[in-house]
Parts: sequence; C-alpha cells; structure tokens
Amino acid sequence: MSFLSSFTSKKRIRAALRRLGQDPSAENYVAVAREHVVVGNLQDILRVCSEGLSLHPGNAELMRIAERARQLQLDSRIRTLKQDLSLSPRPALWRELCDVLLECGRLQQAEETAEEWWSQSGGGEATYYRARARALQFFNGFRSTDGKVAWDLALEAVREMPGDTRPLEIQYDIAKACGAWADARKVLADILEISPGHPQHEQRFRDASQRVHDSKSLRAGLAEVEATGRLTDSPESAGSQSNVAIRPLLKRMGADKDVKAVIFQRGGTALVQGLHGGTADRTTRAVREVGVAARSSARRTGVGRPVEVLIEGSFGSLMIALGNSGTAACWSQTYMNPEHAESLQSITGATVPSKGALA
Amino acid sequence: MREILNSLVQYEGIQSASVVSLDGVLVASALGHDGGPQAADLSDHEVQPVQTMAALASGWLGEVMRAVGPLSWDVPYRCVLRATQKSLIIHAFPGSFLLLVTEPNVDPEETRSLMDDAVQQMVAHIQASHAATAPYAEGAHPPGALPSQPTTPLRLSTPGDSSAS
Repeated sequence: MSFLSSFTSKKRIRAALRRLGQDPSAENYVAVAREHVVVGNLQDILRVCSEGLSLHPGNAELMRIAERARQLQLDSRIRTLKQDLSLSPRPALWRELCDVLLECGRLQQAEETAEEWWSQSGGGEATYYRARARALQFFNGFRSTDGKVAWDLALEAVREMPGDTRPLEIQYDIAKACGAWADARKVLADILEISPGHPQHEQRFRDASQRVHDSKSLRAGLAEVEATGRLTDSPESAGSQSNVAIRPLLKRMGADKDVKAVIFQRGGTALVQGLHGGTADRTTRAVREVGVAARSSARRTGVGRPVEVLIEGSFGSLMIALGNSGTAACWSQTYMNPEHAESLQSITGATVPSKGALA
Repeated sequence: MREILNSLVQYEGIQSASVVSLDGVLVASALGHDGGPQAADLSDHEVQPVQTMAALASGWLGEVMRAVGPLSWDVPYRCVLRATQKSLIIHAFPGSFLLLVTEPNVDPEETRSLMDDAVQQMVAHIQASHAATAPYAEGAHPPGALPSQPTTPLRLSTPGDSSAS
C-alpha cells in the first residue's frame, strides 16, 4: 500500500471511529470493520467485529466479516507452518498444521498432511490425526468406508500410543453414531481403565450398558448410516422433539398468501399445512423422495451432508431443509422467502454453512 | 462456450462450471483455481472428477424429476443442493444443464443472475451455430435432393399496374 493510500485509509478509519463513538450501532461497527479490511489488518478487523458482536449479537454482516478474517488468519498461519515444516519438520508443527486444517474444515487436506507426517516419521500421533480427519469425513458425509477406515486407524493409534484416550474417544464417537453399543461399551471400559473415575465417561458407560440389547454390529451400523443418511444418536432417530412446538410455526408459514404448502416429516409421521387428502399424500411422498435422492446423491458426489434442497420451475419453488430433527419443506408460488428458509432450518436443526458474497 | 464458463469460475468460491447433457455427458467445463480459471487444457486426471460429478449431478436431476413427476409439475429449471462441503447448482436449459460446484459458504442466490446470463449466452450461441450449419432447417420448404430448374419470381398483376401484361 502506497503512503498516500495508507494516509487516506487512516483518515477514513478515524472518521468511522468518530461516527462509532457517537452512535455504536451495528452499521457503524460494520463501517469501521470494512475500513480495516481495506488496510488489511486482520487483528483489528477481528477486534472490531468481536466488540460489535458483543453489543449486537447475531449481526450477519459482522459475523461474515469476522469469519472471513478468521479464515484469512488461519490461511496465513497454514502458509507459515508449511514454510517452517519444509525447513525443520518436527511433531509440534505437524500437530498444529493438522489442528488448523481441521479447524478450517479442510478435512481431506488434514488427512493428507497427517499421512505425510506419518510417512516421514511415523508415530501414534500422526495415526491419531489421520483417524480424526477420516472420522470427521464420516460424520460429514456418512460414508461407511470412511467410518471403517477411521475405526481401523484409531485402533492402530490405540496400539501405538497406549495410555492415551484420544483414539479411543474417536472409536467411541463412531460406535455411538452407528448404534454399535456393544463396541461403544468395550471402548468406554478401555477409556475408564486409563482414566478411572472420570464422571462423563462413567455416565456414558452406564448409557451404553443400558442400550447394549439394541446394539448392532459395527459393519451393520455403518451400512445403515450410509443407507439412511442419519446417525443413530441424532435427535431425528430418537424422536425427542415435540410436534407441538412445530405446528404453530407451520401454521404461521402457511398463512402467507404465497405459500401453497408446508410439510414437516420425521420418521413415518408427517404434518402438512395447506394441502388435504390425496394431494397432501402425493406431495409429502414427493418431498420424501427428493430428500432421499439428495442424501444418496450427496454421498455419491462426496459433497458432504446435505442440508438444503431448492427446486424451482413453473410450479413455483420448493425448498426442503434436511436436518437432524427431520425434514421440512415449503412450497411457494414464487421465489422462496428467505424468512421461510430460515424457519425451515430452525424446525429441522439444519445448519446451513455461513453465506458469503461472491467476489 | 468455454469463454462463458471461464467467466463464471473467475468468481471466488466457484470451484467448477460445466455444461452437461441431460443424459450426463460432459460437454464443456472450466475449473476455478488460485491461479485463475483453466478450461481449454484440462488433463485426463483433472477432467475425470468433473465428468464423474457431471454424471452424478445428471442422475440427481433425473431422480428429482421422477420424484416430482406424480405431482404433474413441469421439469424444474433450477435445482440447488447445499451440503456441508460443497454446493451443486443446476440451471437447466433445453437438452442440457449448466452445473456449478461452489464452496459451501457461497450463497446460491448470488449465482442466480450469473447463471441466467450464462445460459442466455449459451442458448444464443447454440441457436446461432444451428442457424449457421443448417440455414434451411427452419424453412417451410427445405431444398430437394436433386437440383431443380431455376424459376423466375412470380409477379402478380394488380389493377393499374402498367408493367403487367
């Protein structure tokens, strides 16, 4: 940045800060953060966003700027770590690089880095990170092969680093997610041998012992997760959420003139607002089939866990949110109202990745 | 067509842009990279995942069409699948569809106008190339297989027309 542009940027920052001092609104925080973006000082951007979010929690623009700045900061850290590793590779740097990549959600890259670490120096820690990266891929994509590979890698890590509970915890997470309660109990027993008296693990051991009679084999459990696209311990499987809380929300959405139908499905139960009789049945079936197709296609294409499907045509627009608590759909005559989309996500617990603008 | 796809992958967050026939055959594609778009010279190992994605996306579109078929709905022209790691955005046009693979944090609404423009340009391009290769295809009387005798243009006589005999 030239001297002149640096001077004018500082001047604009001071002016934005003065406006913020007079009126600490979310817009003024965003304006200050944007001025810092021009200068490119990530620390200042994060500081302003953090302060703004403490006063205006949930402000979308501040969250977006903070998230972008955090990503850039992590990218910069990744570059530094890679340079350091090329000069003097050592376990602490490999570990930090794997942690940062996992934090960024770059699971494939994290696994490749852990494999490189393992091929250079071996060791249980590298195997543990390979297992962790692969387990996260399983939880995102629900592919049984990912689950099996993660389980085997964690088993290898257990052998290589006895006395460390972290690989056992990966195994417990996988076993619990696919309903292999007998395996989960065995793993928890091993964890409790290493750290006896741990209250959380003891509670988990009691839970697993109670559910052992429902246990599946690990292979069958993983196959079921892949087939259904749902984890065994998800709220949707447990059916814990009450339909009573959902019905008023469906009614409120259905009151919109533009909305033709709102549907919520969980297991074999469906709540339909706006349609009756055979039309309601056919539409509900179509929504279910689109959801199933989205889940299977997402697994095949490796795009992760599906969270939202939108279809538009001469019929209007149909949005389907696929969450842990069920599937919710809204059929609208025109374009989908973003408020309805958010309502669908809140009903189902679908977590849509934070939205960013194209640049 | 590649220029149109290249212009799409220049936007941050768009990983690839492809034109795919409805039966899943990849027609053209461009990949977005840190160093800029690449379209013309994709090597085999780069093209293969794109081809696979094209075929699978086509399969998904077919499944969606089958699912909404019993509702007597027309064929959808835009389908979006948002997932935790990537998003697939499909914009259908006659015989083919434009497929964008984006990063998960990209709002699909941001791509709507871009894809509309790209599809319009592609349809215009396809129509222009059809018109150039088959200039008589849309005429009411396509030329015969054998050469015919040249005919003089018909002139209809109108009252008061002195040139008509």
